[in-house]
Amino acid sequence: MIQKKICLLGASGVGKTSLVKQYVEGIFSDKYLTTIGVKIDKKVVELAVEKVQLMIWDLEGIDRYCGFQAKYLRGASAYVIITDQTRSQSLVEGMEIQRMVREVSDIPAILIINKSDLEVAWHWTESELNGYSKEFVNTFNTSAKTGDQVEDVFKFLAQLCLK
Amino acid sequence: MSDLDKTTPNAPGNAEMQRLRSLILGENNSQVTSTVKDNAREIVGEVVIEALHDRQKRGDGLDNVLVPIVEKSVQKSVSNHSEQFVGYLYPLVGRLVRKSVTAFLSEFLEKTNELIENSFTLKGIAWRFKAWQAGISFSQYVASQTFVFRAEQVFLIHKETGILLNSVQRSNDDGTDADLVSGMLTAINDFVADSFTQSQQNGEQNLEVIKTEDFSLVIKRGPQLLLVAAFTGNIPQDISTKFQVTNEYIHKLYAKEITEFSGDTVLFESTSQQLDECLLAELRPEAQQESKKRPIWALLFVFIVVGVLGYWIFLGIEQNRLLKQFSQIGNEPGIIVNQAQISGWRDVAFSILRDPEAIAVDEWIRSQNLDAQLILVKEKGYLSLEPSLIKARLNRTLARYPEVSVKWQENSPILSGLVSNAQRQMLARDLYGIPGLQNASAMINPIEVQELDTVDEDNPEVLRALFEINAAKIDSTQIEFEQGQSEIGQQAKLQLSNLAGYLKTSIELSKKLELNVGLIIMGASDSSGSSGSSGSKQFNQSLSLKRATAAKQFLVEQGIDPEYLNAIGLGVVELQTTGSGARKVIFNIINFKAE
Repeated sequence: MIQKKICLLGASGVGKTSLVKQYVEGIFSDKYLTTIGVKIDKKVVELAVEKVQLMIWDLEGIDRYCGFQAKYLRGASAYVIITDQTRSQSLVEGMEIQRMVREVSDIPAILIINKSDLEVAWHWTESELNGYSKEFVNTFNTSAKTGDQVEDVFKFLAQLCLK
Repeated sequence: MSDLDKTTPNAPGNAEMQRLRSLILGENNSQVTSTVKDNAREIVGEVVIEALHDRQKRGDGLDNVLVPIVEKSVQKSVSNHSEQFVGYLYPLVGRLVRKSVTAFLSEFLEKTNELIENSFTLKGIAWRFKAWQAGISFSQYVASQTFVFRAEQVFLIHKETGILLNSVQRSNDDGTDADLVSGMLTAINDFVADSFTQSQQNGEQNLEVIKTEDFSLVIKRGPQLLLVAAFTGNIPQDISTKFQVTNEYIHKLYAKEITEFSGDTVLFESTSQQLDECLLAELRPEAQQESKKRPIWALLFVFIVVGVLGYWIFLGIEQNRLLKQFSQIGNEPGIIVNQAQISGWRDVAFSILRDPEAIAVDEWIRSQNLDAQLILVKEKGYLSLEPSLIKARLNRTLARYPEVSVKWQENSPILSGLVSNAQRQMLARDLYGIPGLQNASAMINPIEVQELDTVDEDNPEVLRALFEINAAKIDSTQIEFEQGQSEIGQQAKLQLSNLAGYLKTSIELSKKLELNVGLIIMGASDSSGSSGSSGSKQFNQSLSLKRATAAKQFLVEQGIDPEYLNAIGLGVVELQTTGSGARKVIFNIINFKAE
C-alpha cells in the first residue's frame, strides 16, 4: 500500500485536532502533544485506483512567536494550512506560517477555512484573493463539528500526493 | 536495402539501376530469399539461444510468448504421461511431507511443554502471580525472567518521511500500531535533534537508544533508513554493530527502491528476512540449562499418559485372564459356573453351583496358583449326577462296610464280600439311598450272606447273641387277618415262612446252647367281628383260637416240629389304643435252661 505523510499546520485554536478527530477514529496518545508538539494519526483513503494510507502529522502550537519545527515537514507529500473563519487573526497567522513553510519547502499546500458552521467574520479582499490563492492548490470550507467537506479534504490530499 | 529504395528514385540512371537490381536479386528479391530459405535452419540454429537471451534482456514480452507455450506443454505432458510425472515428483513430495510432519510434531511437543511448564509448575504459578503484581502480561514477564535480552520487534523506517517500510515481531498479540510508533519515533528524534543541537559544527544530534527500566529502543541510523529494535532486558554492546551491518546491507540491497521511494511499502516486504535476523535473544544461563533439557515436561506428560493407559490395559488383560482361568473351575465335576463377570479394577466375581462332594473352591484356587483375594465366589449347593461324584459317594458309603470290597470296571462298580444278612440289608438300603446310583439291586447280588455255620461254633456268647437276634425277630412278628376270618392271607404267609426260617435257626441254636425252646402262638380278635351280643364272647374266643391254630398249621407245613408249637386263643383283646387293629396272631418264643 502507498503511504504518504501530510502535515496540518495552523494557529492555535483553529481546530486542527478536531478536524483530525472528525476524520480519524481513535486518538493516538494525546500525551505526546505537549512534549514534542506533534500528534500523529493514520487513515486509509480508498481512491478509485488504489488505497493510500495517510500519515497525518498534526503540528501544534504554531504562532508568530515560537515558529515551528521545520523538521516535522521533512518527507511530507503535502501540507494543509488551517484557518478559522470566525477570527481574521487566524488568517494572518496562517499566512505567516505559509511564509515560513515556503522558506524550507515547496511541496503542494491547500488551505482550509474551518468552522463553516459558524458566522463568517471576514472575507478575502480582491488583492488578498489574488495573492494567496496562487499559493494553494485548493481551498476548502470545512466544519469539524458537522463534518462538512472533511472527507473531501483528505480525499483531495490523497489524490494530490499520488500526482 | 530499404535505405537504398528510398534514396534511389530521384537519382539519375534510375531505369538502369532497376534493371541491374532485378538481374542480381531476381524478381521481388526472389533470389536472395530463396538462398536464405535454403539455409534458414542452419542460420537460425546458430543464433537461436543468443537471440532469445538478448530478447529476454531487453525484457519486451518474451515471457508473454513463452509462458503459454510452456504451460500448454506441461499440461499436455501431465495428462499424457501422468505416471512419469508422479515418478519425478514422488521423491520431492515425500520429503516435503516428512519434513512438514516432523516440524509439526516437534512444534507440538515444544508447545505442550511450554504450556505445562508455564501452567502447572510451581515456578509457572509464581511467575503468573508476580506478573499480575507487576501489572504486565505473563509472556512479557516470562521473557524478562528467561532472557538476558530479547528483541521483541524490529522496525525498518524511511528516515525522511517516518513511514514504516516493514516490521517483524515475535508474537502477534502486541497491540501497538507499528505505523504510529514509527511516526512518533521519527517525530521524537526530530524534536530531540532540534532541541539539543549545540552548534552547527557538531552537526545533528540523534537518538541512539531510548531506555526505560526494562525496555529499550535501539536505533541504527543509515543514510535513508532507520533500523529500530525494541528490546527487553539488558542489551549487549555488540548488538549495535550487528544492526549497523544489517542496515548497511539493506541499503545496498534496496538502493534503487530507496532512492525512488514514493510511499509504496510493498517493495520492502522482502526485507523481513533481514529483519528476522535482528530478532536476537540470549537466554539466561539457568534458562539455557533448562532449555537444554529438551521438552522434559511434555515427555513426562506423554510418559504418564502412556503409563496409565498401559497399566489400565494391563489390568484389563490380567482381569480377563483371571476370569478365563477361574472359569475353568466349571470343568471340575460337580461345579457349574452360573455367572462370571469382572468387578471393579482388578477383581472377578463368580456365582457357582457346587456339589458337596466336589472339590472345595479354595483348594482348587490353591492348586491353580491363583490369587484368592481377587476372586469373589458366591456358592450354592446342588446334587450332581456326575459319575465321579457318584463314585465318591459310593466309596464313602462302602467305607462303613470294611468287609465289602469294590472293583471298578469302566465306572461300573463290582462289589464283593461276605457280610451278615443284616448288614447286607443295611448295605442295600444305603445303596438305594445314593442319588444317581443305578442298578443298586444288581450290585448287591454278588455279596454273599454269611451262613450261620460259618460262625464259630465253640463260642457260646456268639451263639447266644445269634439266638437273641432270632428270638427278637420272631417276637416282633405279627400277622393280620380280615374281620371275622381265620384264613391266612398272602402277606401273612410270607411273614410266616420268614418266621419259620428264624425258628428253625433258633431251634438249631438252642440245641447247641442246651436250651429248651417253645413258640407260643397267640390268636386275638377285636370286638367288632361279632354280630350277636349273647354269643359274641364265645365266638371271639373260638375265632382267636382258630387264627392261632391256622398259623401253627402253616408253620408245621413249613417243616416245624409241632412239639415246639403251642397255639392259644386270647379271645377279645380289649384295648382302647388298638381299636380294630387287634385282629392278629402274635408270637413269643420262650426258652429255659434244659434240666
